[in-house]
Amino acid sequence: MRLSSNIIRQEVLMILAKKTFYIETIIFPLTMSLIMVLASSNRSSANLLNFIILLSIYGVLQNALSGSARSIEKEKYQDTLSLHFLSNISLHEIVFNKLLANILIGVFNFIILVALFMVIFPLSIYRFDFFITGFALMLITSLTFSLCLSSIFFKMRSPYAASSILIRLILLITGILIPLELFPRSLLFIVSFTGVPQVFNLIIYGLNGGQLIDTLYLIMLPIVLVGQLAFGVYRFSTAEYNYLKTGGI
Amino acid sequence: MDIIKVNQVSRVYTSSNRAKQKQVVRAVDGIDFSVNRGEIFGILGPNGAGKSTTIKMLTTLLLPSSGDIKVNNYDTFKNRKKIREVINVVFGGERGLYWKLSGYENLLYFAKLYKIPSKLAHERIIKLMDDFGLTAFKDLPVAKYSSGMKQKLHFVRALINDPEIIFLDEPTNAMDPKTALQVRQIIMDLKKRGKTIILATHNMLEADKLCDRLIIMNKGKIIKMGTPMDLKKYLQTERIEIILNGLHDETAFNFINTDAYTVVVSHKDSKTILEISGENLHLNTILNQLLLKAYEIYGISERVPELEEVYLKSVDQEVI
Repeated sequence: MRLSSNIIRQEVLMILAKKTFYIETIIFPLTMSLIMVLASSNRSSANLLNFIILLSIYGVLQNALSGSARSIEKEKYQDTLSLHFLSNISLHEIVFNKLLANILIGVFNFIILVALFMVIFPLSIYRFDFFITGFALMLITSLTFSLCLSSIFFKMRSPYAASSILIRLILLITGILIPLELFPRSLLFIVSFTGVPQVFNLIIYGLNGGQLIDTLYLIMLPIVLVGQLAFGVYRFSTAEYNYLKTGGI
Repeated sequence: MDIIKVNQVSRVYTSSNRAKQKQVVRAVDGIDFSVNRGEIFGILGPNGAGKSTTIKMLTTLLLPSSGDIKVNNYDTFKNRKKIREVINVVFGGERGLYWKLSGYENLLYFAKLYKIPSKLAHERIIKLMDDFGLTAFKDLPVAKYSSGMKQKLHFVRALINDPEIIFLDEPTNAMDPKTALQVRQIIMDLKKRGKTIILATHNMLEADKLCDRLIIMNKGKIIKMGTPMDLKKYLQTERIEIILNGLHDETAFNFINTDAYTVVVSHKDSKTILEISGENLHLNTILNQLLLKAYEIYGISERVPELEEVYLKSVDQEVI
């Protein structure tokens, strides 16, 4: 997997040039958080921060997956994707670098949102080590999980639409709308293969304390990440041939 | 020497409809041709003829269902990376560029994809932009470029890796006549620089003027192949135009209108024009007959058929 600063820079420039960028990435999560706090019984600043953090994590994942899918869809439409291939860049390199660029944007949003929050409310972190570990794992999970799914989306006519539907499902089932502690154990076991519930839990625990997810799931996490990465790389190794064979680039 | 060899290549697409019935479309059907180094080779055909599919297969972006393609002696699948080092593509119209970036930034982006060192990339971009008259617009976003400027930028982008073979897919599509002329001039210049050019086009005038050899495709098959002159000869009908002084009635020339010859009569400026076509025209016999009937001959000229006529006749015959 080769890092291409050229593709990352280009992708970041394209994202930042979007007119709705700040509305989608900062104003929307802030407004949503406020609405969620107003709708909930607990209207404390800690609860508001919870929602902001959760929506930011969701934002990183969404940026990674939907952003890359949208970008690839656009490149296909503009015929610039085939020009990438002509320069001997492989499919997984294109996707990997786009994912990285989109994750970088997600991190940028995360920092802006937390900084905004800190201006409004005083912030105290319960366990800084857990918070940082969770944050680092969030970035790695976003990358491996998105790489694993991008290989499936790549052949689709509208990967953006497909990834958007999926990301909403993730939002629904990984702790934002339904708290993890309410999950039946069997469902939590299945969902934890995405790595997302563990990451959510670590960050929230780092911020506010509360209940830490079962150790089993935390031990599972590195295996899950390696598995996702291996699956993504394997899929991409055959995807280029399949793509050339079926529809061309 | 052949730089491209296409041997019995077919491309089949399979799709299923709502009733889950498989539909098989033969986009390209058993085509054979070769391209010589340094020539301009045309691929002509109506929409859906298989031109773009052929270009995609030649440029390693699509695998043939059967047959094999060699570019620069390399197989388009097994050695596709080797091929990609020596080719590039120019798309017609608005595709293939990043509109929000400036012309220079676009070129720098693609130069970096080709791993061209920064200094060399900068020098090459400046030189090429200068050659194509784009220097004054290098920092302007591509969105503000005219169609002609965009097309020139496509050419510059395609030359960024100094390719031996350049594929042009409808390069003058939707272009005004002046810009189209400039683009044709660029193509001729590229040939002079020793580049091999594969030109897919609808434009007969362009194919006639630029191509050393060409193929006409229809429904995935090659229906004609040769030089533009060879193809014009294919019509097998010679055409002469005889201009007579005075206005004469059409029926007066029925004596020429036989099974072998066809006469079309028209009038212009008190002259009668006879356009006679047929196989093995005996001009002497026709002239003698006209002189015997006391017609006054003003002029005689031979009319060479246009490539467009060859194209239309070939495609029409296929349709029938």
